[in-house]
Amino acid sequence: MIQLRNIERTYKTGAGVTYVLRRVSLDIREGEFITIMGPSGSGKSTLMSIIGMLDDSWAGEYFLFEHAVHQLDRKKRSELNRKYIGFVFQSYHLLDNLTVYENLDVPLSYRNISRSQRAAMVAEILDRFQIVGKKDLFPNQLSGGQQQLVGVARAVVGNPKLILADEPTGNLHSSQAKEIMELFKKLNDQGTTIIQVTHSEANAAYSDRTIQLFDGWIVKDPASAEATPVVGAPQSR
Amino acid sequence: METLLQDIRYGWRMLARNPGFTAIAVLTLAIGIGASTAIFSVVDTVLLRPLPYRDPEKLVLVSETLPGMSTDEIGVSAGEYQDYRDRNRSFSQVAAYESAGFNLTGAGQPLRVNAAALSASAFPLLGVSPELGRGFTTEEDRYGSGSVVVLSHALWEHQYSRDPNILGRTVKLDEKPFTVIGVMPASFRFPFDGAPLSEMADLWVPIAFEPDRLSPGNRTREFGVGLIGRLKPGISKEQAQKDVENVATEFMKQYGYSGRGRVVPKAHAFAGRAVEKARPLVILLILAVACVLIIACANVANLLLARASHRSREMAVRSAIGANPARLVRQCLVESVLLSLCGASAGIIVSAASIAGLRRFGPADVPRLHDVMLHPNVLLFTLGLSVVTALLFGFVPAWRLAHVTPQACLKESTQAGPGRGKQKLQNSVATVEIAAALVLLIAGGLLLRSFVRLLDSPFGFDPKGVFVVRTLFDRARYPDPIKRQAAQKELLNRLSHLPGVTAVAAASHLPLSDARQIGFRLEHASADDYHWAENSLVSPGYFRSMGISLLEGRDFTEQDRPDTPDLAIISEKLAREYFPGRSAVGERFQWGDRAFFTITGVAADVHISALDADPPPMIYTSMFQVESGASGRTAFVLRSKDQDEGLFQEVQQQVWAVDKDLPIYNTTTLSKLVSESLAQRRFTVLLLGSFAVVAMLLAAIGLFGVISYLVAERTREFGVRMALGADRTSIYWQVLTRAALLAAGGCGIGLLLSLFASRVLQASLYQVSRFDWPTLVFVPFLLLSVALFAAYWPARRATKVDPMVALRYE
Repeated sequence: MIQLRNIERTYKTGAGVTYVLRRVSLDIREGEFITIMGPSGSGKSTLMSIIGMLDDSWAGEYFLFEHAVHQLDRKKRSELNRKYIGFVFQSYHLLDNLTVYENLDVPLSYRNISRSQRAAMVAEILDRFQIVGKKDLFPNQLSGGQQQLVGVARAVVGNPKLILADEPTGNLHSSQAKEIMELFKKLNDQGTTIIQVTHSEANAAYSDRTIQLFDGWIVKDPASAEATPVVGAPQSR
Repeated sequence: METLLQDIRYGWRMLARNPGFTAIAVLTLAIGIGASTAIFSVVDTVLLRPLPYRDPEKLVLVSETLPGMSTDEIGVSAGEYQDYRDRNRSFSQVAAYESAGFNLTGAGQPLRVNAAALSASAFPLLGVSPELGRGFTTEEDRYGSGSVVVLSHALWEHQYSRDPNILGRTVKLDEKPFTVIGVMPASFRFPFDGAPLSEMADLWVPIAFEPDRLSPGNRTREFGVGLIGRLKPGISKEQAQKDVENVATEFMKQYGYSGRGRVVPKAHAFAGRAVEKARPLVILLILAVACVLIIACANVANLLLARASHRSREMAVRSAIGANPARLVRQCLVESVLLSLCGASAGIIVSAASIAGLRRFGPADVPRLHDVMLHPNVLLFTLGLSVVTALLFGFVPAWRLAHVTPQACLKESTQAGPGRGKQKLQNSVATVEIAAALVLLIAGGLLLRSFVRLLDSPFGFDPKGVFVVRTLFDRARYPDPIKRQAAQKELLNRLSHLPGVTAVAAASHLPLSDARQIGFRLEHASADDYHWAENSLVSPGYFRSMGISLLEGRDFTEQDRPDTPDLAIISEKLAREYFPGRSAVGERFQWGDRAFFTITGVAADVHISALDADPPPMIYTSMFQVESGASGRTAFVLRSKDQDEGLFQEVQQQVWAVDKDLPIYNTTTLSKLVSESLAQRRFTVLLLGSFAVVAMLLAAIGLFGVISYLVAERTREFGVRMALGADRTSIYWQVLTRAALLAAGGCGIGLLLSLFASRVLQASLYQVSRFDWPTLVFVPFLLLSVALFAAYWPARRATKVDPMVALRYE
């Protein structure tokens, strides 16, 4: 489903260029549940942004299904994002001035879907996540767990093939975190590919494969023989 | 006290640390406070400052109307003045005055001077003594008892170089010797009726009514005497009104006033009367400047609100370490007051420049406009205004900042987008700005449309290339009409040969500069069926020289002489009104007690008093056929191919070649008369238009600020939306839609307010309804476009949001 070949991402700094990702190559099959781990600054979120097509400034090759993403312009990438990908954020990032219902409607409103069809899809997801009673509440009227539940619901409302979850339980206590992870597992069992970034070993245990990043390099990938097993080399110049 | 000083020090530091914010806020306040201060200076000088007389609130003007003839308010007759003076019970003193004009000779070139004839009681009544010498005695105010004159300070200074020995010197007025008995102080002006400075009296002579003017027969013929009284202690204006009504009833009974001749007296407060004409303009300016100030305050309030969001953490920390809300409010308000004082300081510079502009370009008929200056009262006003402004724009942000919840501000935000409450407040403030700007723009638009309509409407004459030179053949020099007419004809002949001149004529009165009315009775109408019309004595060729179309009949000719039947040319309006459905040519009317005049032509209507006043009915008579009080007044009208003003000198040479003592005054062109007639309207359009444009710019800056702030606050939200699939165009439209909604809301409220506010304008509009739909459609559209342009830049910035940066939290 996803093939990354020699992905590199740099930032210009006063001292020169800082590498955030170095020659990252990765294959992800449809239906997999992947965890990306690594210390802060290792490039996890940058990798997620590239996969999610929120970042354009990278080098290398990226194939999503049959699409050569690296050859597409921003508009085409945006279309791919809408078609295949759903996001879940650590800080929920619900739109504060919209109700739960409206938050769920937002991603659908960016797709070419009629109002009545959107209403049906939102109603279905509200029911599926058992949050019908909360549909008219604003985010600040919900607990953290409930907000993230809505965050996940918003990610899946458009039936994406891929969910990208960046520290989805980072702001939740353990029981709420478990609930959300169970939900991801269930979605994965139903066929959705999930890539999560986490610091939690417990969350990682829900996934099929854990990839380790360190200073921009993949240092461990059970599916790849090319992972760089070197730790500690300075990576900026 | 120490903590207050600490707050002031801290406030200065905060302002210095944010130079961009401080500069924009100070500039905005400088515009608002500067414009308000300038307009307050005008209000203070024109409306509030007492007239330069003793106890001016006790002075009352008495005028009359003739309900039977539907006249405006007019003066009284000489006999009536004496009755009001002798029979009233309300006034401690009563004085009479009337305008006069003289040829002043014997001091350099002959000079035409404006004068006022006053009763001996006038100076004591006004409570002003001459700077040099004395006023008039009762004896000098008797007909034939002596010719004395009191000079104005300006005339003494300019014509006699402040000659300390001026008292007792003889000057010649209309060839008669007058002895100078006094010089008035520089501040003294009378009559004070809102007349342009050029018409202020240069000298005063005793009114000394001729016995004829006091005869019973003259009572219902003459209404030119002004009457002013000083109220006795404890007497109100209303009591004085009743009193003068009783006096009028008595004398009307005594002298047998009947029918259309009956008069109704009116008592007016002199102070109010003096500024009555200027009041609507000044009120309009006050409202306009209030709008600008509100917008400026709203702008700064929004800037402070935006800044408050960045300072909430600072306030939370202060609160967490023990500051109470009152202390935090004070600290914020101290900053606002400092900001406002800086704005006021810059505002004084703005107002000084504005006042200089007002004095230079303001219309002449706003009394005392040329005396406007930054006065201690005005500086006090500015100080007060800046404190009020600080409270206006500073309180809400201060209150909000002082009541932040520390724990909410200090913990990491999980919201995407600004808080709903804060956003609503800022939106409301921006909406108010747009509404206020729209009110001003619509007012400016309506006035501009009126102005354009006025320029487009036919004047009735063609001012292009027409030169006007006035002189006066006074009766003292030309007692014989035949001699005078010969001199006038000689001059017309000489002027017609000047190079470039294509037509020459003369007239006693010209449109837009002077006017007089005569009473007339149609042939076969009853003896007291009198009507009024404007009149001018004109020479043959007047209509051609002025470019007035002769619609029917013929012009006057050299053959129309005193010994041939009297002829008149009337205006189209008079013809339509009195001879509907038939030709007026050949019809006859009687002017006063004279023989009947036969109408020989009908001319196009001409605006007489002002371009925005309807053309009145007009009767032209031949200056070489009819003798009247106005016969000596002669304005030469020269139509020339050249626009060179050197023609004036050539005319002057020709005039003095005929008679070296003829005064030449008020030389001008018809185009200038048109321009002067439009001066107040042009000034109002310019001033209100400037306020409207400033208001629009401030509102646009305000909206730019609000939308920029919104974009900054919603950076994370835009990142989320992009992550959820929004493309850049949809973000762009989302921001623009928000701006459009704000602007449309403001325009909606502004339109409603305009419908009420434009009532104030009603009197200033010319052939334009206050519901003029092109204005009501175009102006909101313009404001909406400007608002969208202002929002375009922040919207563009919103599309450049990098979702990665927006969502980064690690």
